[in-house]
Amino acid sequence: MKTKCVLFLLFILPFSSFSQDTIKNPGRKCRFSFEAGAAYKGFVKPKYISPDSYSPGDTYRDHQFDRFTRIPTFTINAGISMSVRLSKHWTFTTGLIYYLRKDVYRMDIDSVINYYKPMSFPYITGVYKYNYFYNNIEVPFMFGYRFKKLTFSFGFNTSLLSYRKTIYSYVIKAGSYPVSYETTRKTVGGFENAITIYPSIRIGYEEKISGHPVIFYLGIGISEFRWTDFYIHFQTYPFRIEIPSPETQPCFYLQAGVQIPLKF
Amino acid sequence: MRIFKTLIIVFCVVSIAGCKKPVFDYRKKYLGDYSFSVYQARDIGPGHYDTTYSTDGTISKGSDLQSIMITYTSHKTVELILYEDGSLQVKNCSYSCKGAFESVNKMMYTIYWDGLSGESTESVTGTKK
Repeated sequence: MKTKCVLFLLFILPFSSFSQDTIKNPGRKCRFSFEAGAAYKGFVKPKYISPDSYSPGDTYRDHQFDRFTRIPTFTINAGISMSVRLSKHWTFTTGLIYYLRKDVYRMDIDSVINYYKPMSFPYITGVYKYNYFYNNIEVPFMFGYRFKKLTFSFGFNTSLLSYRKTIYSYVIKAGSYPVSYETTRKTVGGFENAITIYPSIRIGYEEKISGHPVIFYLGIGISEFRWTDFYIHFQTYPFRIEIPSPETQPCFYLQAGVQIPLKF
Repeated sequence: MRIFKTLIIVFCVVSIAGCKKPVFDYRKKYLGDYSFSVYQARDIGPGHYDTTYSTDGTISKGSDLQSIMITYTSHKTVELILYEDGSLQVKNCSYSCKGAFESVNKMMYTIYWDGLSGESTESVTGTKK
């Protein structure tokens, strides 16, 4: 409850001085920028996924990554963002940004052979590496506080639709006498609708290069929250709003990038 | 005012997405009419029997979000779990009943049964028409 109150106060804080400051400081209220960057996705908690981390539900999904290890990856992004000036110091930023995010899970081939007994054809239990590529068009919702050349921002990116390409690397049983194994790969692509939230905080520094303002930023993203079957259930009496729990990935992003304001 | 408009748009988008049924169903690309080649072999007691024949059929969505149903022209049906990589597992089969889609146009599965009285194998290969 306490956390929710703090988050609510943080949310309404930028609106508090909205009416006075926009009147006192007339000027350009909306600014479009080109934005590009990259991020390192890492893990603080153990990267190894223990088979003991059982949660009830779909047997395959719950155990899909048992004994796998999460591998750190890199993310790239580029797109157009729009900043709306709420007051002298506060801004709200949204936009459309393309992100290529990756998820990689890997297991030793020997472990796959020992625990999952590969088939003689590419079968899901013979996978030793999942390579997921999420091509997202993300919408940021960021509030920023500008102080001189620095801007401190907080908020989240959200993705509703992504094109997911997956490369499955399999071990297959090639011969029985003597027993031998070989590896093969399969690529599967398709659109996926899942609501994903990527919370982050950023610090930006504005500098003029050849008379043109350029903003360099550094950021930290904390965890990912993903709803593959999202629904809101309303109930009038007793009043209740029910939203399913997301799948949470305990990861972090170290972001760096640049924003170049566009002139129209 | 713009903020409230933005929030209303976000709420509308979230409401549209707010259903349990996935809009992009990974099973869709595999559905359709197929030609099947069936190989059956049985070793029960001292006798051995095997045969190969061709038949037509349809692959449609199964009884849950992760399954498909094969209906042959003989009205025989087989329900299989379809995994995200195209792997197949025959539903309610405790023996070795596995298969896979090699591509969106070609699939295969095998049902193997082994008991005290003998063993039985049914291998099916399907090609999309």
